[in-house]
Amino acid sequence: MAIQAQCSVRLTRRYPDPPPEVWAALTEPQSLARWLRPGFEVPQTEVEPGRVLELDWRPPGEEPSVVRIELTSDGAGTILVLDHARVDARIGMRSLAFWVGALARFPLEARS
Amino acid sequence: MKALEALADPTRRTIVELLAEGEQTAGDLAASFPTSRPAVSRHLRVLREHGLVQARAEGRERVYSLEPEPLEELDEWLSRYRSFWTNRLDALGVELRRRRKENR
Repeated sequence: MAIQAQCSVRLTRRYPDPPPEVWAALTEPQSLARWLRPGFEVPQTEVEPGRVLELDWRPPGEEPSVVRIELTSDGAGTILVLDHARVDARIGMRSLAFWVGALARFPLEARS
Repeated sequence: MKALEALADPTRRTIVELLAEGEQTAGDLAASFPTSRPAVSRHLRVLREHGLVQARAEGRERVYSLEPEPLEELDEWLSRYRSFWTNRLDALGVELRRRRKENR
């Protein structure tokens, strides 16, 4: 049997800069250090260089999760979609029931 | 039986979905299914034993609701990260402006 439940925070922004410039600000260490200061090491994976980036999100004391950032050009600017998903192992099977049942309450994405 | 197996049953999954909309008496829940009331009661007992639902007595009826704890934990995670990423994406906008000025 496969009940798979996932919850995610999904945010969309538009920036006036073109995708290569946004990509640079996301990936160049000096820029990254200025806008993203999580307090722990965040390894990056360039899933599709220039377009899709994944952050390996492992805060101390929390289950690891993945932050996916996707860029699309929009006129001269860029649409950025950030998706921070977690498939919960920590609160375990119990929470699956609630995700299955309580989808209407939250802006969640769920697959079952 | 593990909690996940408890949810393998379609009737039990439907019960959980119904309770997500709000608490219900055992009688109201039973009325939503073609099966007999004792059958629905058995499903409710299984769900309760697995920590998925809770019951309280109200007069002669038992009122069922979802266990709130996992929902609250999830809600807390979602709101914490929603505000975290909102702030970070604002900061990214500031950084992009700074880079524009620098490249000019």
